[in-house]
Amino acid sequence: MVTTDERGQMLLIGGVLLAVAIVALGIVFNGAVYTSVLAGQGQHDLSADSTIELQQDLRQMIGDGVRHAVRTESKLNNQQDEVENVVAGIAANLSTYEAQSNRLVNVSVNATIDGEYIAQNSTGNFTYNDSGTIKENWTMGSDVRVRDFSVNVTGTSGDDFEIRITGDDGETYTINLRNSTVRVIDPSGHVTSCSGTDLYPIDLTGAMLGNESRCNALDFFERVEPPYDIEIVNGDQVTGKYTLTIDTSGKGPTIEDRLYGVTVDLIYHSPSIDYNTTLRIAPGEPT
Amino acid sequence: MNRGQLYTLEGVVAGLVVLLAVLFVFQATSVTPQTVGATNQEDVAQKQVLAESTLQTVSDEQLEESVLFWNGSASPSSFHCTPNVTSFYPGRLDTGSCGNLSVSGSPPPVPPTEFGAILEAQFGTKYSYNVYLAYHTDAGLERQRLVYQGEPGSGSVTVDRSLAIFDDDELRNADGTHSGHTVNQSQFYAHDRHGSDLYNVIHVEVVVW
Repeated sequence: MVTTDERGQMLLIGGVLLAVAIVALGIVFNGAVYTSVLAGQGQHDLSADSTIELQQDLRQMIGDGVRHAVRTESKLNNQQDEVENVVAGIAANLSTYEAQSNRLVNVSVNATIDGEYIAQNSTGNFTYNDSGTIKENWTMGSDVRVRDFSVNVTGTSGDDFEIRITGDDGETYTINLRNSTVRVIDPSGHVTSCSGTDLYPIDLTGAMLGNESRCNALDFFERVEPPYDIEIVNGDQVTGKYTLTIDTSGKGPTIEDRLYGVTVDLIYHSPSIDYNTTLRIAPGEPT
Repeated sequence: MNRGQLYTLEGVVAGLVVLLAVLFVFQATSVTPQTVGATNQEDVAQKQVLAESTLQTVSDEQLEESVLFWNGSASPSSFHCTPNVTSFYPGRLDTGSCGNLSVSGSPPPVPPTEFGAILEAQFGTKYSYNVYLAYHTDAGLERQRLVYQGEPGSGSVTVDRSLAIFDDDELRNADGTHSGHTVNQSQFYAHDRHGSDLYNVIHVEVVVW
C-alpha cells in the first residue's frame, strides 16, 4: 500500500489513463458505425441496370411497332416506312423522358430485316407442289431465322409427321406432331413431350399450346444455333394450316414479302455510364 | 504551497482531464442518416432492387391493360370506378365489382387489375406505393396519377417502364375486356402526337416508400 507521502501523483496519472481509455473506446465505436454506413452506400451499383431495362423496353416497344406495321400495311416498303416512323417517334419521346434524369438516349434504325411470310391458309396436307410434283418431304427454308411459327393440325393419318430444325452447327431437333401429343427429339435422341386436349394451334417459337399452357419441350428453339434449316417430313400424313415469318426467302404454298424485324442503334450517356450497342429486334423470334 | 492544496489541485486537474476526454468523445460521434430519422442506405438499395424486379415481372399485356383502364365516356373521364372527385385511385377503397379480378371479401388492389394485384402482393403490407403515368404533350411531359396514396416519405425509390401505345389500341372496360373504342376515338388522358400509327409513349412510374 502506497503511503500518502509516496503517492507520486497517482491520482493525476489515473485520471489521464481513464481519459485515454474513454477516447479509445469512442474511436472504436465510431469506426463501427461509420463502417456500416460506408457498407450501405456501396452495396449495389445500379448504374448498369438502367441500360438493361431500357433495352428491354425498346425491344418491347419496337417489337410492337413491327407487329403493328405488318398488320396495317400489306406491302413491304410501306411496312418499312411505317416502322421507321414509329421508331423515330419512340426515339423522340424517349430522349425527352430520359433527359429529365440526366441521361442522353439516342435510338435510330440501323436497317430493316426484310423477309417472307409463308402460309397455308386453307386446310390441306403439309406438302409442297414443286412444279407439278407433290413432295411430302421438303425444305421450307435454308439458313433462316423464324418468328411466329404457328401450326394448326386438324387431322392426322399417321404418327410420323415431323418438322426438323437443323442448326448452323449441324445439330437437328425434330418436332413430331400428333393429335394429342407434341414430341421433341433432341440431337442425342432424348425425347420430351407435351400432351393434352386442345393443343392446336401451337406457337412453336413461343412454346405455347392452344389451351394457353406452356410447352417446355418447345424451348429447344432457344438452343438451336441460328441460322437454321426447316424441313417438313411426311407432310402427307397431316392436314391443317400453318403460318410463319422468316428473315430471307423460302418455299411454301403462299409467300409474300414481309418485314421480319429491325436493327436499331442505341447510344446511351449518363454521368455513370456510356454505352453503345446495336439491337436486333424481331418480335416472336426465340431468343 | 501546502501539500493539501497540491493534492486538491491534482485531483481537480485529473477530473478535468477525464471530463474533457468524455466531452471530446461525444463531440466526435458519427452522424448517420438514422440520426435525423431518415432511412439508411441499405434499406433504400433493397427497396430499389425489389421495386425494379417487381416491375420487370409485370407482362406487357398486364401493363397495357392498366394504362388503358380508362373510362372515356364518363364525364369527366377517369379510370374505372374511381371516386367522383378524382380521376385516380386514392388508396385502397371498395370498388365493388369493378375490375377484372374475382377478388372476394377484402377491397380489391389498386388499380383493380392484374398489375395492381402484383404491386399489392409485393408492396402491400410493408411499403406504400404511388403510380404515375407520364406522357408527352407539346408542352413537355405531363403526369396522370393512377394511384396516389400520399406524399412519399424519405427513402422513397422510383422505377419506371415505358410502353408504346398505337392508334388502334382499345380502351378497356371495367371488367378488363376490350371496349371496342380506340384511344384516338375517346377522351384519353394522352393525345396523339405522331402522324404514324404510334399514338404516344407512356412511362409507368412506380414510387415506393
